Amino acid sequence: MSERKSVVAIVDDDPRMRESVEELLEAAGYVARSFSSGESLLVAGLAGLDVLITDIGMPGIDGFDLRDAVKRSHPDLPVFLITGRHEIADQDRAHGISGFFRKPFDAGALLAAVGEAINKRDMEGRHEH
Amino acid sequence: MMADLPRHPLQLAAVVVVVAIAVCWMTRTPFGLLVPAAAAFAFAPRRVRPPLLGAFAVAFAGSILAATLYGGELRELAWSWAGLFAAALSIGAVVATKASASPADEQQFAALSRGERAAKSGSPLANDAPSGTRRSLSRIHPDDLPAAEQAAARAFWTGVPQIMRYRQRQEDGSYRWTESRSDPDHRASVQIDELETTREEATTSASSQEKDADAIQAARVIESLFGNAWAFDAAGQWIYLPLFAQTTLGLTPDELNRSVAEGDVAWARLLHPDEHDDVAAHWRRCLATGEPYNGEFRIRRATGIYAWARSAARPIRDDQQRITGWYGTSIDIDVYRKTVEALRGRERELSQLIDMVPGHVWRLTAEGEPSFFNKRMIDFLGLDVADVDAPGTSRLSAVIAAIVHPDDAAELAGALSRCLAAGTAFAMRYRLRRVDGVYRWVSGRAEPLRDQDGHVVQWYGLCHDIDDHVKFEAALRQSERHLQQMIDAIPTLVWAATPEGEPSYLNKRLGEYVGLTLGDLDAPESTRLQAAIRNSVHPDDAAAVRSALAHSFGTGETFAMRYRHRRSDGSYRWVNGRAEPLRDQGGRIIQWYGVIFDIDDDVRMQDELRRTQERLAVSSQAAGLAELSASIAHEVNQPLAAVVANSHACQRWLTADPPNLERAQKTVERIIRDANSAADVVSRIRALFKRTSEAKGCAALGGVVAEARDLIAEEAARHRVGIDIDVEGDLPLVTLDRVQIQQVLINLMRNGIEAMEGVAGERSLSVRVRRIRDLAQTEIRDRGRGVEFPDRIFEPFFTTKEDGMGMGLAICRSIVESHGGRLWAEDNGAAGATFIFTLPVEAKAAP
Repeated sequence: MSERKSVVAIVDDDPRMRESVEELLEAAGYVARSFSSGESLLVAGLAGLDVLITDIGMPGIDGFDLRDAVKRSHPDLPVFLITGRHEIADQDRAHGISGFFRKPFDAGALLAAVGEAINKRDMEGRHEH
Repeated sequence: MMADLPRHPLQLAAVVVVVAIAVCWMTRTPFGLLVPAAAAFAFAPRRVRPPLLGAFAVAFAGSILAATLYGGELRELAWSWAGLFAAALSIGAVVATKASASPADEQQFAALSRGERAAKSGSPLANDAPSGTRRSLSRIHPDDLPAAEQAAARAFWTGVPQIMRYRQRQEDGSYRWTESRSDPDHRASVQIDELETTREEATTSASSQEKDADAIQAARVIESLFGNAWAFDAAGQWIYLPLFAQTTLGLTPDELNRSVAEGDVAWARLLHPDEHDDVAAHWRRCLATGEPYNGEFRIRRATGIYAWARSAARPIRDDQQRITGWYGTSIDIDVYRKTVEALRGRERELSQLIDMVPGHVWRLTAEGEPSFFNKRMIDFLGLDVADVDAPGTSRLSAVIAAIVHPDDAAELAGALSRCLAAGTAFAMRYRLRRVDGVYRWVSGRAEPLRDQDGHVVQWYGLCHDIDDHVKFEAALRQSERHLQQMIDAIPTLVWAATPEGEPSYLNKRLGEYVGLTLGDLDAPESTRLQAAIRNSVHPDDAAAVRSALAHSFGTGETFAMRYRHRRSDGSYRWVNGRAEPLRDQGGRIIQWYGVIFDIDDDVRMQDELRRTQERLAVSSQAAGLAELSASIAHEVNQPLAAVVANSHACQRWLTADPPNLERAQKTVERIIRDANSAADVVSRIRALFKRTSEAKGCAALGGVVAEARDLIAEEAARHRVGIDIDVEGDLPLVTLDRVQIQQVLINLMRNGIEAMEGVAGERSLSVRVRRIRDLAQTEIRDRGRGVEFPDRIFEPFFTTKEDGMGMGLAICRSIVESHGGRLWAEDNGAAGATFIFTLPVEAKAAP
């Protein structure tokens, strides 16, 4: 546990969702950073982030747009999308995307996916060194 | 007889009246006045009697009135006068009745003066009764017989009634003077004055000498034949003139002969001034030369009247052929003259009539040759019947060629010759050429005049100018044609019917539309209307159309209805039918006019539109439901996701080494909070769909079913599904929310209707309601495809329909269950499905 803790950002306009996901991540040993909107995340910057989890349906920049914006500057940053609206998950643009979760999501599966993404990233980083 | 009868009573009456008045004056009582009153009734002319009776009646009434109004002496006086007038009235009534019961003298006189009952009244000289004449003549005094016979002869020859007096033998053998009238049997139709011929006593004739005997003898022979004759001596002086002639002329021969002494002819005093000179000259010439005299001239009678006579005189010669005298006769020809004149007058009238008739009168011979045109026709044509005669051609052909329009000539000639040959009446319209060259339409007619044997003698024809009429008719026809074209051209189907509703007209378009003519509607044992409805109205609409039309025709109300009409290609099309009556001034219906608008395209378009709207409504409803459920899901998922995440976190805090109880505790609090939040969402949604129980009430299930049927009837008709309702009678009331149960019924019925979509065979939906123990059970049975999963179909979101939400049956079940009932489905195998629901019936009050 002496290793540096991975930092996971969570973006959701619902404070209950932010709280609960933050709690879950912290219980799993991550450092969680909450943002109430895509805009506030972008303002704070993406530096030091290892994983990004974002809600899709939000006022202003929605989850899809945020993901696209993040991929442009940080293509390596893993992004997980969560939605409460199943019909959005059925839409064409959501098809074929990995890291997609429907509320209420399986917390274990989410943590597993996050851990896997961080490991993958670490291994790729080690190869680069 | 006539002369002596009235004399004695009159004298008697005069004497009696004088005596009565004298007695009256001396006794100072008015009752003697009754005698003059009675005399007045007896001798006054009959027409005076009623007013006389009336006057006495008025006087009687006046006296009674006076007696009641006044008193004292005046009243007594009035009473006595009333008695007097009453007596006068009674006498008058009796006398008048008696007088009219035996008016023999008066009537006989009237008969004589009218000259019509000579034989009946005992007058002897009636020539129309030969046997009577003989018997009567035998009763005439021998001295009067020759005069009577001559009077009869004159009447015969001249036609002038002769009145004479003679002595007639009575039953007791004595002779009495009587007067009679002798009429000719060939009665003239002209007015002729009678001739008084008899003198009271004979006067002597002119002194005759021996040398005159022959002429007089000859005259007497003529007289015996003609009833009149006369004789002159050689110098032309009267030597014989019968007594009757002297009477009628009022002159004796001697008086007449004075003219000769004055240097004139012996006729002079008898001649009319206009003829005097001619007759005198002629007579003088005859006297001088001995040539026979024949002449017609007027002779003056004693009355001053001139009467025409035809006179002839012949000389008498002695052995030496010297003229010794003249004899001759004058026969009164007044009757003849007047008859001729009357005939001429009548002929003139007739010819005026024929000329004045406002038409052309013409005549053809039996062979058909024109023989007469009336004046109007001559004026019209400018030519007379013989003006166009030409050699080598018949007059008829020439006339036709000259006056008939060339286009009509051949037809006219043909028709006329056919009529001439067959002897049948002729009638034709043709154009005649007027004198100014203008042809005018005339209506010509001709009929044959036949003799007693039936042979045609003449043809009489009449034609009158109908040019204006024909032109007016042509204008009318033209106008009618225009109207007809207009009615045929307007893009509407038009019909007309009699006041009773029998079709009388279809316009061209309607005829083409239905492929029928009026004649096609004429069928035995059915009216045109019945045939029209049978032929042209959709069988499903026929009864309604028939009854609506019958109602309109019966009441005069406008007919307006939408129904399906059969087109000539056999297809049925929706139309709007409308009819209104045309009434006369009295409000009586004289005709029905109807129009039919083909609105099939509109109807179909509207149908299509409605179906589209329904689909739209269904899909928008579905979209709305989807949206709603998505919202609900999101609202619930949000706290649920938080609960799941927190639970997982909590688990991690508790399983950590060491367990982080503080964080676990915090997390559990959040879990409780978010789970409550989710429960709130569910409560809110429940509240949103909360059913109120206040809407429930007692209702008859049969009525609810009927209302549901009405609500879905149109949809069923569109899908061609018949709905058969069978509700058990005596069904108890059910506690229900009417709207919700109707929703259930409509939903189940609609499912049934839709299940039969595309299914061949009978499409019928039967709804049966009956009581089973304490439940009212309703069965909706269709003949569709049946149900594959009778249990699963009630699950929410289970659907077998492409566009279904799968909520309908779930909701139905929920509604039924909320009413304390059950809803389930049974498969009928090959014959569709049955949906059954039960509802508890009202608990009966305990007995």
